[in-house]
Order: sequence, then structure tokens, then C-alpha cells
Amino acid sequence: MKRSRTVAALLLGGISPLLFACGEDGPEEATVYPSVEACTAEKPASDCAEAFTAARQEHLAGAPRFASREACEAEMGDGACTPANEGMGSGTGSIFVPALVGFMIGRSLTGGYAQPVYFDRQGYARSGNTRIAETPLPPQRRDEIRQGSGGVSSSSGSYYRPGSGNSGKSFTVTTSGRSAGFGSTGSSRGFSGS
Amino acid sequence: MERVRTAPRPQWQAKLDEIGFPFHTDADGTAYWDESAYWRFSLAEIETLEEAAEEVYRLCEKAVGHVVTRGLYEAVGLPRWAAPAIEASWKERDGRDMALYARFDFAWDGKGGPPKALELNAETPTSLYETAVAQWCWLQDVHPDADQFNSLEEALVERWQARMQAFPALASQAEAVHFACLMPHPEDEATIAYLQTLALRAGMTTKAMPIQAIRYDDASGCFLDDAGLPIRQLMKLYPWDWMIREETGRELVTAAAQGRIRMIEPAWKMVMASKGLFALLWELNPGHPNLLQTSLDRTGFPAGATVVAKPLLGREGSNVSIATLDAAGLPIGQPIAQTEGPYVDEGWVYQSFTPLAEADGNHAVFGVWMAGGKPCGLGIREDRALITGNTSRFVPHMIAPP
Repeated sequence: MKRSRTVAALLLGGISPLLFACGEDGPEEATVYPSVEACTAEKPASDCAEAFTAARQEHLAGAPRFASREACEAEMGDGACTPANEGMGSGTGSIFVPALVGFMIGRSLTGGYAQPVYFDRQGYARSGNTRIAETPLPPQRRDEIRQGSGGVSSSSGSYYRPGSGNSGKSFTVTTSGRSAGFGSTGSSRGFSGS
Repeated sequence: MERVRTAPRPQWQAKLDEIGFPFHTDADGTAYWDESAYWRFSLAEIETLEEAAEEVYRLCEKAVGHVVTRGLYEAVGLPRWAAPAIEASWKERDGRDMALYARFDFAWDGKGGPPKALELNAETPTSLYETAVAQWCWLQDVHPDADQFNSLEEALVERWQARMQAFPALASQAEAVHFACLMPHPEDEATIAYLQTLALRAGMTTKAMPIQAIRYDDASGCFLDDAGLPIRQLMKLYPWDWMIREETGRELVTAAAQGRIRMIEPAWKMVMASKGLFALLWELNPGHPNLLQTSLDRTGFPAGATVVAKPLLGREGSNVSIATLDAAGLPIGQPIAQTEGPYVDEGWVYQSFTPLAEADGNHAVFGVWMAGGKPCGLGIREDRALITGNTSRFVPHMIAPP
């Protein structure tokens, strides 16, 4: 046989909106809310509900997708994954995504945004396929947030649901430093390989 | 070989979406993934392609060595000041600066003559996921018992495993490999996510990030990720010859030359990726059956020859033209075909024209994938035009008796 025995550990969710790629021009800090309740402690309730809905939509559309729970957990951490079809109403039942642990509201060049957030195995906050946090959170803190989000700890629906457990508090992620300046040529030329 | 027309799978778009390949249709609504046909090869034909790829890759490696030992960087369109990184990495090409992958483009009609290598995309080859996954799943759906020249995924996992053996800190997960590309760029992000997955499967710790978010720390001479952690190993889906000309390009050359950062692909790959290498290949191996006459000088072709002009550091089929030349090397009349693009600055390479496989008005270029020096897969691009570009359709293949 000249073909691989199997392929595709990762079924690519692919599209990840960029949050912090523009260096000094981009947003430098965003607050992550593990629940709508945690959000309404700081912001108007209608903004929080709207942001949660937008983040959830984004999560359904753009979460990294894996062909098995093992493949997902290998990247996202033990117990961090959930079948993609739960709460999605479609899919084959064999695709796994990281469970949502919270959402962000922030400011970007194009206006406000809301983004889904989860953690990877190293403890970095991620959104889509993009790592958004400067530093990893320690495992204990991650567990607290997950429980606060009602995410993986829930048995009936692994997605974040508003009102299901709201002990989590908001936290922030930041970036800083001198840009190496890579990417300028491709950005101007519309690079797509050869 | 034969181009077989066939009915696409019902709901083929949804099937591709589901396996993580939403890029099947171009923005203008035309299909990029085209399963209304496939190419069928005999095993002997595939073995002929494999042998040709292995042979020409070996010649390419020798030609890179020729450039490095003689310092012929201008001939491949590269600045001399990049030499320290190129030379240091070339010394470790069998170990810590090993190649990951590359893709040849071959022209071959299977009618008796040998396959001809048109070029080697040695740094940022496109259509990885289409080749390794999408056409594999297509075959599994439509002809599960048929074979395909496609062990690309397994071969790449093996490359990552080999890398771990060269770096104990990767094996112990004390160090990570960073994966970077332009973001936002859904296709490239998908490609690095796939490569990252294969590295993960080999047992590595990986981190993905936008290439624009890489930082440089002048005090330590280290490149940093978006978390401020040093980048020791960087898989970049972005050309070396652009990076070295960007803001911290010289710092990158120094860091790579000193082994403070290990790049994937390594710096010597920018020599191999230059189209100028094929001029050197012809000079070193004139008349080789798998090569076409190629030169940096267009006056060396016989009068009346049809010649393809390509930018030395071009990509995606941009700025390519095909014309018939007179005795002085000047085009006779209008070009037979040409494409526009941004690659007009760094010189040109001229190559004898040879026809691609053609069926029903479709011209097919055969992309043979290499993992290190080993051929491991085939991805076919088709176009109604003579020049294959970034919108040319991807058409699957299988190995089966006629």
C-alpha cells in the first residue's frame, strides 16, 4: 500500500479571528468572563448576554475540531473536551471540540468583539486556534474557572450555559514586547505559499 | 495514466467541510477542489514518478552543496549576508537542521518520455491538507479498496519523530516547537494546525501563533513568543527570503547561525527553494532525462525554442510567461501565456517549455511530496490555462489497474 493507514487526527475548525496579532495597534488586554453572571458584575446585563451569544456562535463555528476525544485532550488537556454535536444539533458524533470555559468582551480596531475562550494543555487561554494569553494559568485556577463556567463539569451539556454555576470570577490576559516585524512582506502581497 | 470523469459524491462540499476543509470553493464560486474527475495511474507509473523525484531531490541537495561551498548566493537571488545561517544549517542538515518537506512539480504525459521536474517548492509548499487528508478521505469514500500514492501524513509524523531524536529537550517536552504563519489567514492557519497535530502525535509540545506576533529581545538575542517565552524551534509557513529582509531579518540570520533558534525549514532550504537552483541543476547535470534546459540567461536556447520565464523567487505561478524566442533570446510576437504578480525584482530563470499531461482541455501538473529526501505522496493541480496558479483546481487520484 502506498497510502497512509489513517489520517486526520485533527479535523480543522480552521478559522480563528485574530485578537492580538497587530502589536501595538491591537488590543492589549481583555477580560474573560466564565459566566454571564460574572460579566454582569462589571458590565450592563444586555451587553453581557449579547456578547455571550456572539461568543457561543463563534465557538460553534470556529472551535478547533478533533477526530477523537484522545486527539482533543492531547492538545487541550485531560477532561477539557466535549463532543461537537452536543448542543450543536448536527454532526456525526465522532468530532470533539474543547469545552468553552468563558468569553471575552474587548475592544479592537474594528469595534467591539466577543470571543469564546478555552484553555490548552499548557494552560494558555485560547480562542479558536489562536493563543491569546501571555502566560499560562496554573492548573488549579483553570479548574476553578472551568467549574465556574459549568463547562466540562456538567454532565448533561458540556457547553457553557448561562446560569449554570456562576462562582467563576473574571480574569485578564495581556501581551507586550518589541515586535520582530515579521509578516510585513506577506501582508502586503497576500501570501499563499507555492 | 488516464483522467476519468466521474460524478462527485453527493454533498461533497459538506463532506469536505466536515473533515476540516472548507476551502473547496473559491470566492468567485468556482470549485477549487474538483472531484468531477480523478487521475488513475498504474503502480508502474507511480513508481516512475517516485524514482524521478528521489533522483532529482538528490541532485538538488548536491546543487545546494555546490552553492554553499562556492558561495554562489547571487546565482540563486539571495544576499551574501544570509550565508552564515545557510552554511551553519547546511552542516547540520542530517541532524538538527534536517528538512521537513517539499513538493516537486512534475510535467509528464506518461507516453514514453520520462517525467520532467519543473521546480521544487522547498519551503512553503501548498496543498498539504488536500493531498494528505482530503483526497485520502475521498478515496476512502468512493474506492476504499483502491490505493493512492499518499503516505504523506505518516511520513511527516516520522519526520517529527526524527526531529525529537535530534533534540532531547523536545523529546522530554522541556522545549516546544512554535508554529507561525500570517494571521488572519484561514488556509495557512489550517495548514499549520495540521502540521502541529502531526507534531503533537509524534509526542511534541507545540504552540501556534501569528508570525506578526513574534518578538525580539535585544538583550538576550532571543526571539520570543506572544507569552514572552523564548522560541527555540520555529516552524514558519512563511518564506525565509522575506523574513531576512524584514525588520529583524539580520538578527534572525545571526540567531540561526549560532543555533539559538532552529528553523523549520532550516536556512539552507532558501537555497533549495530558489528557482535559480534549477539553472544550476542543468549546468551540473546537462541532458539529465528528468530535467529541462534551464538558465539564468535566455540567449542560450535554440532559435524558435518555446521557453518559460519565471521569477527567481516567485510563488503561486505569478509573473510567469511562456514565449517563443528568436536566436537573440528575444520573444517572437506575443507571449503564448502569461500571468501577473508582484515578483519582478530579483531576476528571472528561463526553462524549456514542456507540455503537462492534458485531457479534455485540462492541463495537470503532478506535485510529488517529499518528506526529507523520500517521496511520499502525489497532489494534482489542473487548469484550463497552461500556467498553474493558486486558483488551479485540485483533482484527486488513485492507483488502480485500467
